[in-house]
Amino acid sequence: MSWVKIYATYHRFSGSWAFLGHRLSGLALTGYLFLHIWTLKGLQEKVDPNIPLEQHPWTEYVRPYASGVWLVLEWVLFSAVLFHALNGVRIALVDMVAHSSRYQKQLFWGSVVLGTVLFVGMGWLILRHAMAGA
Amino acid sequence: MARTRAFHTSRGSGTTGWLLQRVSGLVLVVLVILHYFLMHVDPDRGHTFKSVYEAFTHPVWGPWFKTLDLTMLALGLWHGLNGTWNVIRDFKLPPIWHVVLLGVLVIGGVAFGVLGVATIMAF
Repeated sequence: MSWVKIYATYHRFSGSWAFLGHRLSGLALTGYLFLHIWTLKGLQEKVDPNIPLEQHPWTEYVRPYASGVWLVLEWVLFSAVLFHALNGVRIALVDMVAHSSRYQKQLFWGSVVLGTVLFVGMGWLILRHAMAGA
Repeated sequence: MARTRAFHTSRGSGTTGWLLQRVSGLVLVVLVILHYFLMHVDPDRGHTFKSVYEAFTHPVWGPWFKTLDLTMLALGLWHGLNGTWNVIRDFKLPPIWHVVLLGVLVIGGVAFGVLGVATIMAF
């Protein structure tokens, strides 16, 4: 359990949390990508010209996931997307732009602000119809 | 001579993978956030067969939506699986585990890539 000790001690105040978070969110998003491809395979079912598009079986299959708690989970997933995306941009900037590491505190707080704005905005976009209909 | 060349060039050092990971990542930042926006700008979008069918078969935008999704599929799978492989390598597992896990990642990636392309091109 040496890694527990490492994360509990001298790595506590460094960027190691961002490193760990980047890896965990990356693995989670990769897992979701496989799930996402799998749940969309029902779209391949041929369109029956005698049945209206509204009654295609995939719509019925996906309906439970397009409401309620699943919409909230979709929003939560976006926080993983935002963390991984903004931290990735931060890594690229610190790596590639000269002297950018001097501004890493500003970069960190800048990405927190941008991330919060995008997260709240997406929450409104995802949930506004559900809330209006409730 | 061979040793000098190996030292002075990036071949075999992992630089290509590193560069591809970074470039695909920066493209995905834009594409995935755009994807999230497009799929939620209207509650039906991406959540009913009709909306997906109408987007993909749209006379003007259809091919663009397909191109967007095929690009995201290819870059997402590459970036995710290469990243997973980077994590696995850091654990310094016995070589047999590396062979097995890399095999799982490659076969899984190809299989789900084919499945994803088949879904998009079904329209």
